[in-house]
Amino acid sequence: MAAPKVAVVGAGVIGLSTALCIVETCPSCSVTVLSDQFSPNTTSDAAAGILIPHTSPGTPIHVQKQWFKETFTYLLAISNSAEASEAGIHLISGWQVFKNTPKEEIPFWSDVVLGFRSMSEAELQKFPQHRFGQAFTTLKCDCPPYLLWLEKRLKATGVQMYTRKVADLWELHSEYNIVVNCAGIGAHQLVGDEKLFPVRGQVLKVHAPWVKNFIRDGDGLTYIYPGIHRVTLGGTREKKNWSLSPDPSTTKDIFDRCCSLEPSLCGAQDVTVKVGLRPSRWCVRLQREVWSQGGVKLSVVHNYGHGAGGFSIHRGTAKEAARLVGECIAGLQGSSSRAKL
Amino acid sequence: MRVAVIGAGVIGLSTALCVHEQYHGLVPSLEVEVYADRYTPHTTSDGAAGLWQPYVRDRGNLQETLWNKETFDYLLGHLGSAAAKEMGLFLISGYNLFTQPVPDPAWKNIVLGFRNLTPKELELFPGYSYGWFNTALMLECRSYLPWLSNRLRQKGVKFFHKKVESFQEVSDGGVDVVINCTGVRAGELQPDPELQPGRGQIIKVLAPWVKHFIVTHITDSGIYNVPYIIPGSEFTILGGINQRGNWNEENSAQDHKTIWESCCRLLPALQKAQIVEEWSGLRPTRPSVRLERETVRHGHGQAEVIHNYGHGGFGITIHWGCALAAARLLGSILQERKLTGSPQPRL
Repeated sequence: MAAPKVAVVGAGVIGLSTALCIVETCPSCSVTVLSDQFSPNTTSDAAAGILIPHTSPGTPIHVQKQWFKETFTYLLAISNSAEASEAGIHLISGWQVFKNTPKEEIPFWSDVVLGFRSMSEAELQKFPQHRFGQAFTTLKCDCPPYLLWLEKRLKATGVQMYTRKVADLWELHSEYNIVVNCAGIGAHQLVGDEKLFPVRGQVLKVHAPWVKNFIRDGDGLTYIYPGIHRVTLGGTREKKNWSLSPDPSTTKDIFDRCCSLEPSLCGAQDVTVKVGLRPSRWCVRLQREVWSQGGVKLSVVHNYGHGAGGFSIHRGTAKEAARLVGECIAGLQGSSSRAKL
Repeated sequence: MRVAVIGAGVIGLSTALCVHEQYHGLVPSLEVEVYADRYTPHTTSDGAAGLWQPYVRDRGNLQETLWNKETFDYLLGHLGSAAAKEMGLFLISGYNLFTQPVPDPAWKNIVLGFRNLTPKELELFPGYSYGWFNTALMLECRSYLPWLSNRLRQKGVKFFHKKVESFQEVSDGGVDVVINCTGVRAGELQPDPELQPGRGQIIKVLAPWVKHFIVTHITDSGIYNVPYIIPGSEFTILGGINQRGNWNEENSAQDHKTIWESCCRLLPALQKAQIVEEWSGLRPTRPSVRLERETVRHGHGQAEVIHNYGHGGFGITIHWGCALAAARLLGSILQERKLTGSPQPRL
C-alpha cells in the first residue's frame, strides 16, 4: 500500500511524543498532528513536568516501571547533551517529605531515579512538621520548551501540524488510514469515555531563582518544583472539577502551604496562575481498535488517560502506541494484499 | 575605645559585625570603623561564586574545620529567616568528582546528606570514577556584602574609603585596636612570605537549567585548577584556574579557553549558555589562616593588631568562625584593659 497516513489527535506531551515515536519507527508513514490546542495552551503546559511517577491502580507495576524507565533514560541523555537547554530538560535534586511514615518507604521507581535514599535526621530538621523523607535526583521537563522542541523535531521530519478541533474520530476516515487518539481530557467528549474524569490542578509559577531543590509533600498536594526560569508551586487535586478558571483563594492557599515548606518563597515575585485538568483514569487507555462503517475501515490507537503521571511515562507509552500503530499497518498491509488476490 | 577593621571583603565586614554585636552592649565607648580601598562589588569576595565548601583534603588543621562548621551552622540557622534572600543565602546540592577513590572529607557531617555517588550517577561524568553528593549552602557576596554593610551602617559603624599604608598610620590616628582583614595584599602592611596570590579566573554565564554545583578534582592538579561549575541565583560561574604566585588581575584569553572547553566537556548542556562576564581575582593563599594577636611596635609607640587573613579559596566557607575567633581575641584585649565590667562573655 502507499505510505500509511497517520493522524495524531492531540498536541500535548502525549500527542507530540507519540507522533515522534511513530516517525522514528515508521519512516515511511506520513504523520500529521491535529489539535485544537498547541503549546502554551495544553494541559502539559500547566504541569511542572517533574519525573516522579504516580501509581496507577489498573496497570501492572512492572509495566509502569518499564514506561518510567524508558522515559527517564531517554530524557537523561537529552539533559546531558547540548540540546538540554532548548529541550527544557534538566536534572533536579530534592526531597519528598511525609508527615507520617508511608506504608511503602521504598517506591517501585526508587532504582530508576538517581541516588535514592532516606533522608537523614539533619536533613529532616529543615521540615519540622514531617518525620520521614526520601532524597533523590530526578529530571524535569519544562513546558513550553519541551513541547516546542518536540514540535521542531517533528517539523524537521516533515510532520505537518494543524489547529483543528476534531469532533469525532470518524470524520478523519477519508483522509487517514490510522488515527492515534492522544486527546487527553478531550477524550471524554471525543470518544465518549465515561471512565475518564478530570482531576483539576491549580498551580502558581513564580520567579524564585534561588530555589535549586524540589520539595514535595508525600500527600501529593503541596510541592515546589524549580524549573529553568520559574518555580512551579502546587497544588490541588479536585476530582471531577472541570473549571479552567483560576481561583484566588486557592492561589493564596497554595502560596501559604508552599511558604511553610520553604520560607524563602515569601520573597517570590511575579506570580502567574495556571490550571490544568489531569486526564485521570484507572489505567492509561493504550489499545488499538478497528472501526468500520459501510465497508470503510479506520484503525484507531488510543493513548490517553495518564492522569497525574503523564510526563513520567510519556516516552514509554508513546513507544507502545507506536508499536500498536505498527500492528495496524501490518494489519492494513495484510488486508490490502488479500484484496489483491 | 576605637576598633578599626582594615578590609571590606567578606572577612572584614563580617568581623566588624561580629565585634559590634558581641561588645557594643558591654563597652559603651566602643566605636567600630572600617577602612578599605575596595568595597563591594570590587573586592575579591565579590568574584567568588559563594559555595560553602572547604578544601577536600584536610590540611590537618582542626581549628579551621571547627571554624568551617561554625560558619555552616550559623548560615543554616539563617536559612529560614526573612533575611536569607537579602543575604544571598540558599541551599544547593551537587557533585564532587574524582578520578580515583579518596577518603571522606573532614566536613562530611557538616553538610547535609553526604554520600558517595552511585555507578549510574558516575556515568554522567565520563573520566571520573568516584565522587560525592551533598547539599550545602550558597552565600553570594554581591548580596551578602551589601547586607553586612547595611547592618553595620544601621549600627553607626563608619566607613572610610582609603588605602591604609601602615598600622602606625591608623594607631597614630587614635585607633586602639586594628583588625587586619586585608586579604591577599596583607603583605603590603607587613611582609608575609607565606601569603601568596592564588590567581583565579571565572566566566559568568546564563544557564538557569543548571541546578547543581559540580566540582572536579584531579590528584596533583591542585584545588580549583580543574573545572568547576557553580550555579548562582542569577548566573552560573564556570571556573578552574588557580595559579600560585600570579598577581595578574587581568583576564587571560588562554585561561578563558581552558575554562570554557573543560566545563563544556564536563557538562555538555552548557554549550548553549550565553557568556555574560569574565573576572579574575587573587585568592589570599596561605598554609593556614593567620588569626592571631600581635603588638606591632613602631617608632614612638605600638599598635595592637588582630590579624585575620589568608583564607585562600575558602573565605566564605570559614568567615563566621574566624569572625568569632577574632572577636574573642578582641575580648581578651578589652579584658586586659579592664574595659568590660563583667566577666568575659561566653562566645
